[in-house]
Amino acid sequence: MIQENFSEGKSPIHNLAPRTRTLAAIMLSLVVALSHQFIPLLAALIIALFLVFTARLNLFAAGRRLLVIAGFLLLIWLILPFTGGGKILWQYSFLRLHEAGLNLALQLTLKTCAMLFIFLALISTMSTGDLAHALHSLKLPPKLVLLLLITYRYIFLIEDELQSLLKAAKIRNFKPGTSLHCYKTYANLLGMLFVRAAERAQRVHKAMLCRAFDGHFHSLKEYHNRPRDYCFLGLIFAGSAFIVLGEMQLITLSTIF
Amino acid sequence: MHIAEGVLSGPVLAAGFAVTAVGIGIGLKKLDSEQIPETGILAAAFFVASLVHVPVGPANVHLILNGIVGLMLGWAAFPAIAVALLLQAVFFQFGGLTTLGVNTAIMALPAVTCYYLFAPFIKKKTKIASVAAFACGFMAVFLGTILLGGALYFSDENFFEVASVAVSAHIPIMIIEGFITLFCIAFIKKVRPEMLG
Repeated sequence: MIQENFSEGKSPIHNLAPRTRTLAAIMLSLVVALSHQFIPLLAALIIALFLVFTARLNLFAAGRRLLVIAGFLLLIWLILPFTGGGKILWQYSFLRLHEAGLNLALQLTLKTCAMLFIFLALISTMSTGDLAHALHSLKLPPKLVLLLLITYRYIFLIEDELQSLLKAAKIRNFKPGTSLHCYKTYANLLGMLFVRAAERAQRVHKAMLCRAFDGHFHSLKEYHNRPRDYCFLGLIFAGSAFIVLGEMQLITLSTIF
Repeated sequence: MHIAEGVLSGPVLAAGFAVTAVGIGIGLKKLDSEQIPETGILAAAFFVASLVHVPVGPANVHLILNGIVGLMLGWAAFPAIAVALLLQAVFFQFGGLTTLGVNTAIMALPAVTCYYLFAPFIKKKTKIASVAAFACGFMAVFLGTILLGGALYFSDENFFEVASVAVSAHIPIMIIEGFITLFCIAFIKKVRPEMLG
């Protein structure tokens, strides 16, 4: 089922304006994406975990989101250390552990985890309506924001429709398997989903026109930047600056300790 | 088909955003505000359809369907796919903010390419239409995987093996997508032919 698990909550992060959170997420993600050194990446992971704690997310649910990247990370750990170049650290018959590959795998793991938690704490903590509003105020094309809102609005309805189609197939004793019949059944089912979606789209569009739709969605909520928004952006900027300086090796372990 | 955050290098991420920005620009320009509700609801349908898991032997794969998206939406595939991917990131943490550009390009560029290659044949009544539909589904995933592999390889040459594993793992998906596209397009042609542009 499709759910917005983290968007409801009471925490300092949930109290920030959506635009503040979106800006902070963009800034931090970009800085982390461009970092390679061990210290800035570790700092990024600490900042990300700090954000997750501040957002008071359900830690179990947040941890389960790591499963999403687990498959990819497993693939990387199985392949990179044994194929990447660099000094050979350890050898057992044909297995060779390479330094460069090992470093790359470690670096990627830190990076993906940090970025996943940044996204979870800053973006997933708002409803998609708020996110659309934030993107609009960040000057994304209005048509694109409108498309986002409409898509979001209909995902849940269409998922219901898919479930009822799947149920109907099951009642007629359809069992999925590796066969052409199975693929044909799925294809017809999806075709039906698209046809119904298109018909719904025409009805909805007419209904919207009847209600004087002029291409704009107006939000009932108003967002103002408050002092805490500026403070938070300042903190995130400082964190990003620390990561950048660490990446440029202007801050090293010896300057910290 | 998406790449997680934190894997690609700066230039590759920037290239992805550039391609996607141009694609979305053209796509939005070709969309009247009249057509936005329809495109949005179709984007929602594709989002939901890609949650369907189809069995392949002991495992199961989820569908990508960018071939059908391309056939139905043309250039509007860019904004539709970008929006669907953003929502996937919000709901399931698939991909994220920095990879949105690359991931959109990986799926939407083949969708638009297949639209130009195969859309003229799809409407024909002969067997060519079926062959074109299969090829459309197959090629859309094939080109997407090549872009995915390229994005990994150009980020770091050490990714060569990872990229080749990713590409070869997609071969059965290409075939399945080919058949699904073939049957799905045949169904739509029977029921609502005007949906295919």
